Amino acid sequence: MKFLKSNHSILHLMLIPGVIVVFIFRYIPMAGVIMAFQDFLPGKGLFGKQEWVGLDNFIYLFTLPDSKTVLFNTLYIASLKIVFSFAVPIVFAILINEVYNRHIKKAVQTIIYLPHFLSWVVVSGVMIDILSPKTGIVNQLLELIGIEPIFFLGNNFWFPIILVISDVWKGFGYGTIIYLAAITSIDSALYEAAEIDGANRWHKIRYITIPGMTMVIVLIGVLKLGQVLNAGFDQVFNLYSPIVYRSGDIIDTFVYRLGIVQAQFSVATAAGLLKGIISCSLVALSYYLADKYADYRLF
Amino acid sequence: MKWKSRSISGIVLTCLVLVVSMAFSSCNKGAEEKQVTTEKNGTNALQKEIDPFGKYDETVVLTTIVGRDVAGGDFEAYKDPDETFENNRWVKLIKEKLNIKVDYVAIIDKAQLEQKRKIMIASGSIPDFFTSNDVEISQLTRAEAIQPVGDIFDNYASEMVSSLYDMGGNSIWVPTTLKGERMAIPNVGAGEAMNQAKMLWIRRDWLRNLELEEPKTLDDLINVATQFTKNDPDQDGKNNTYGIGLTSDISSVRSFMTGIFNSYEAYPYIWLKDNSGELYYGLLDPNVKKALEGMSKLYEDGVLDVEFAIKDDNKIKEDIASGKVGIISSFHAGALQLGLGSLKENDPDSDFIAIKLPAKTTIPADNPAAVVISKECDNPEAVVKIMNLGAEMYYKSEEADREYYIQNEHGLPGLTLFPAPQPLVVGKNPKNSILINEALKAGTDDPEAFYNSVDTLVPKGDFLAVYGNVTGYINNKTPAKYPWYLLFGPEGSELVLDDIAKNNLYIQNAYMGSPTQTMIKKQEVLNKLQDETILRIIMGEDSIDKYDKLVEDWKKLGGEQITEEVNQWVKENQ
Repeated sequence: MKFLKSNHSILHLMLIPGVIVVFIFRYIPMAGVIMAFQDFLPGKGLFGKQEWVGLDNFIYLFTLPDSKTVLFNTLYIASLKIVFSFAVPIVFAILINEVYNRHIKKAVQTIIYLPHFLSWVVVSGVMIDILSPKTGIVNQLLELIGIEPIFFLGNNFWFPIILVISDVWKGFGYGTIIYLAAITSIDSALYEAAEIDGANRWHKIRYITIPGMTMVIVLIGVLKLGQVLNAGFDQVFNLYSPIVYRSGDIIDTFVYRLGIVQAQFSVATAAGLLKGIISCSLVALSYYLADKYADYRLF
Repeated sequence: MKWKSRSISGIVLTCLVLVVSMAFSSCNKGAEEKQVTTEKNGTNALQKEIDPFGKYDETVVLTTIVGRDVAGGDFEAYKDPDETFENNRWVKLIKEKLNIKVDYVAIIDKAQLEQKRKIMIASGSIPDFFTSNDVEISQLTRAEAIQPVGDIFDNYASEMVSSLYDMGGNSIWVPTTLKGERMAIPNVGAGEAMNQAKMLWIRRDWLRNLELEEPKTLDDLINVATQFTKNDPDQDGKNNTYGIGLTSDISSVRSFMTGIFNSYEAYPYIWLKDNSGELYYGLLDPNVKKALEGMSKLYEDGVLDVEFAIKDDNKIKEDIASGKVGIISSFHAGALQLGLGSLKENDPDSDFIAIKLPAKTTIPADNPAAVVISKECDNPEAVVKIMNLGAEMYYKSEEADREYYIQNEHGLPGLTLFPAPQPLVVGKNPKNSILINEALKAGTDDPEAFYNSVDTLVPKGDFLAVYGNVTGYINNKTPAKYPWYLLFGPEGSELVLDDIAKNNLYIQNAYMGSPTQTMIKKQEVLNKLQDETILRIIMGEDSIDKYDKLVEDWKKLGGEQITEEVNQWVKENQ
């Protein structure tokens, strides 16, 4: 009972509900990956006498005519998202930090944080309306300056770009807060000293704020690597249609159609497992990088 | 510190593993026990003699799942004080009359029923009986999780039920017959294939405004749709209408595009019979190319909704309600499905009418929904008995009972609480519509007396409720009743449906078997291929030549194999 007396032990005990939830909903379902190596027949049950087929499902997956497009789309959309959802909040955090009026600062912070709480179902409904080529406000503005209306959600060039823009818009408020926290922790004595030395605002940003944030920037950047295969199911699923399959169909939506719509559990599991393995190695890699460049260690 | 935290998480993990492994072992125990009881009851069941309405001496428990409007305010409004979804009037009646206890293991929101059912099947624990679909029935059969139902049905179906199934014709059992065994009891009447026949729902007030006739040929249709787009049919001085409404759903049974294809005599997505009796996929028919060419022209001219590729059902309903759409190809209940009531509310002058397509319409193979009975179920005949009871109550019950169990005084169907599919009269709606129109013509004040004076298979509750709705619109112009008027009124869609059925104005999917092995495997790839290519051609992203490549790719990616399997099925089932 000695460990109960230590403060830290109590904190650890508080982890238990979280651990249980993760275990039940993340670890136990992992038993289902055996489906990837079976010709899974629903009705015989998860642990029933299924036929083992080795790597057949994976081979089938790679011979599908779409697998290359789907993989490319996933990487393309996810990398664009990573780059922009990484860069925009940094810039924005620095800009907000330079605002002197506290009320404006707080107001802006709150407003940009707001979309984070909307679900993609809602956001996509709004987007379909404002991006409509006939009645949408965006195209009406374009028309005013003499540009032909663009069918953003039905155009293979624009679709990924719209995905990235809307994702950044929805998420950058949240990212900004992390960087703002990093900026707040910078010792204000440094700024005062710089001012005495005759530094202007630009100098202060360049030589104090940014170096002071480096640690957090590197850390977040590295951690984002693990998301290279997450192009965002909720978002894509609510916005895409067959017309933009070739630019918008990602691994997750593909697995959804294969697994849930067509009930091909084995192939869908194989695709999911493959994605899991790649993501897992990327997380491991990013963890290694985080340790090396940002001194960030969990264990 | 570090060491300590590890040991604690170690303890936690060990505990969890223990708990979980205990849970699993108790699961197994449950399964063993069940098997023992199975054997016991099995012998009991054999000793019973056959009586379609026989009451069991010992209570028989049947587990099932059902999809309900869980949030359904309707039920709240008319239920008895102590009535619940699980223990409703039908469950009580079945217990009382047959001594069968219907036990809902899950009541699922209607919208999620299919997904939840798939997961339930995948987990290997299915209830005693439930309504399933074609793919699942074939999977369940292969997994030997369900039992054949043919003999049970033949032995236990009441006269009433048998005659209803006879009315459905020979083809009704075809989709659920696998390797010569009837594996599931089809839903006769409900969702019959004919109900999916496409027609054109068209703004008649716009036709009048532009002095146009109802379109009878394809050229008429194109002309009307074009004028609806360009000549300001709503006469508000703004260019804010379009001819033909569609959604992103382009290939399902419910798709609004099917009827447009059909108007070009093109029948993609169903199997057609060639002169030699071989089946071929409708997509490969040269008419499809013509249709695509025509539709891409219409799209270019803005006659087809420019944004249809990203519209879902709700968006198209908004468009219709705000008076932007001139023509939409839906099925007989389109007026309800498309929310024409809200259009009427917004614009009392609006006026829709259903007319038949300028060519034959597609109808799917007979309804793939059917009741399966688990292998584990010891009293499969109990399911048939429940159906017998349902039919008896529906068609023959006393006044008070009918009101309580079928259609209550609010016009709300107690029937929706029936746990099994209701055997229904085939072509009920057109029959009802004819009857209603006779009553309207006779100008009767007392519909009940009128009903009693005729000989019909249309259930009284249906007749009275719909008659009430139709006259409700005629007398009071209530917008909410307007769709009913469009369906069952003097020029209603049900009469169009009757016309289509009686004059053979339809082409039915010639493949009625369950999905073949290759279909199950390749369907997603093929669907994606055809949906994407068809959309791209119509929207002008690809030229019409891509159609030839589509045909080639379709064959290569499994279509050829599927065609072989389909024709193999034809040989086996002739």
